[in-house]
Amino acid sequence: MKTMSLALLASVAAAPLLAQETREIGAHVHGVSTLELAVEDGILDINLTSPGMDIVGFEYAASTDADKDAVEAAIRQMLTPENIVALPEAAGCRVTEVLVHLHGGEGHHDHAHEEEHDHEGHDHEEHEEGKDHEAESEHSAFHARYVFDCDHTDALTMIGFPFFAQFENAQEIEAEFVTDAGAGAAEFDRDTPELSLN
Amino acid sequence: MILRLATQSLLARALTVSMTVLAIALSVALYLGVEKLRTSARASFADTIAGTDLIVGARSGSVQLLLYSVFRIGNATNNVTWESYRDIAARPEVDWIVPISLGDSHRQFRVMGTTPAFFEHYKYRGGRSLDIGDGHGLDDLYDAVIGADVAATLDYTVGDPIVVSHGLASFTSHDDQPFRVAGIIAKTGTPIDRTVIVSLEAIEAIHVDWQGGAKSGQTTPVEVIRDMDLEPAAITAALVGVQSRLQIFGLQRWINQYPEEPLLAILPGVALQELWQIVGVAETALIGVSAMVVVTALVGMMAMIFASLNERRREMAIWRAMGARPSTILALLVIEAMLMAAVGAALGLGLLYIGLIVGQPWVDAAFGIWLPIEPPTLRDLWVLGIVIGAAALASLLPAIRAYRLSLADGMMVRI
Repeated sequence: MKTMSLALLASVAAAPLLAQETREIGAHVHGVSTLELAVEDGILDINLTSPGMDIVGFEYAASTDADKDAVEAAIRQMLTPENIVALPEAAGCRVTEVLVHLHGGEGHHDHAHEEEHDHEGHDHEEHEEGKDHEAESEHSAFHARYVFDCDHTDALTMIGFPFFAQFENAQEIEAEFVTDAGAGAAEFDRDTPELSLN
Repeated sequence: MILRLATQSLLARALTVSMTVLAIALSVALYLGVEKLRTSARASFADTIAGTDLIVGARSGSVQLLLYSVFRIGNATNNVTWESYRDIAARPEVDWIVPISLGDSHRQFRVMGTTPAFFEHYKYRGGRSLDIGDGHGLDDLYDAVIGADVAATLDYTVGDPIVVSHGLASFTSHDDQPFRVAGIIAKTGTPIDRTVIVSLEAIEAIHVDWQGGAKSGQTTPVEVIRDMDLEPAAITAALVGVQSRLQIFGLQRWINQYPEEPLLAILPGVALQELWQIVGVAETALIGVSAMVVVTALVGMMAMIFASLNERRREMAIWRAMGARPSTILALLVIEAMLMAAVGAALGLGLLYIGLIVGQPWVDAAFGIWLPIEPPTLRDLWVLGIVIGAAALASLLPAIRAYRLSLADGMMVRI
């Protein structure tokens, strides 16, 4: 009897936990990458998220050797910032951090991280595993983060995207940016692969 | 020489010419006016909120959240629970956070519950702070700070009692707990002008006796309420300032993925831009229509010149006899047209400024759009130049006809 009531209690306690389960899944559009760009105090922070379809042409977990090679090649390409973004010479920007990884695709998860300088006073964005990847959908996405130290951030008026030349399936970038002039949004595609700030 | 001839010739036909000039002037004034209204409306909207990095509300659309939280247009789909608000406020990235609570009204004006920090952090028009020109901020539980339009429309001064109505268009009022006008905010040109601001606790306090959306029979005495814990259960939205700009997107992602409650964090600037993308189509249509009006005026001028050609054939013939070359006649007509367009454009500009001076207070009061009276922009001058150039082009057709006629007619004009 006592065990019964304990079991009952346990099930009652478990019920609200089950009810608290949340289900949600983000929108996912092939051909459209999203870009977040922030500038402050000489630091330029760029986050680019692209659907796997745009980068490697598939979004399932890489299973064959060819698939794995493609993912690896793509990550290597993205690890070189010049392949993705072209900053104006006048801004005098140096890369301080590059981070590229693949998430989604049935939990498959590739990481590559390069840090060229150590830099103090700069907060690392916490990548809470499982939070970022909580909706492990069947769609994989490549996420690249580039941090630059720039001498003249006010010269960052136009940013080019060789990204489109690298990845033929990428069609469009939806960008949001925050600079000294405030926040803004822009959309651009492979015909005019440029983001103009301010 | 030709210029003097052209001027005299125009003056000789003052009536028809002045009508044409008037048409051009009106069309130019309309075009520039629409352009002015468009840019001013944009600026007014963009100036409404500054210094706020994120706006947090229930998950809906970014434009909707912006409209109800900042512009008081439309209503919230859901509230944000106080627990979620506290979770967000506890994030290390958050520099400051100001809750706002909407839903009640006073006459035709919305009542907004917030904390005194609102006055510190709410910025408009490129970083200006709210200025309580008259009176003071929210010191007492039943203090209300009102916007300039509220004070002007309802003729309120500091110290006046006001009663808040429940909901937006209801017959029940919170008359058991009247507020007192503690301060009047100087005119800002933002929706704040049309808002009654009270403390978040006051919003809670006036709903103490309310259960299930209706007033219960009993009335809790004000003294008891003052001693109660008036922590709200929910708020409508929150304005957030972030420590470093580089953390905005990170915090935004954290809020948007907050598992306990579906929330939405937006960057006000980005949401505004989305709004303009929607409104942009209508703007383009408006500009298109006013451009067509300018074209119509120019076509009217062309028709006027054509019509005048016949009556001026003898005049042309005399000029030819006096030794004017056919090309002189062509030049004369083109110069006349450009003169008309130039005078029309100048007059149009003048009309615009008269309209601005007359309409500025009215547009501001009625729509909250501030039309700055500034010297014409480079773009405006370009438009005027294009109008004059287009007039020259439009006059070429009749001018070429006059040129031909003057070649053929010589001295022998049979009319």
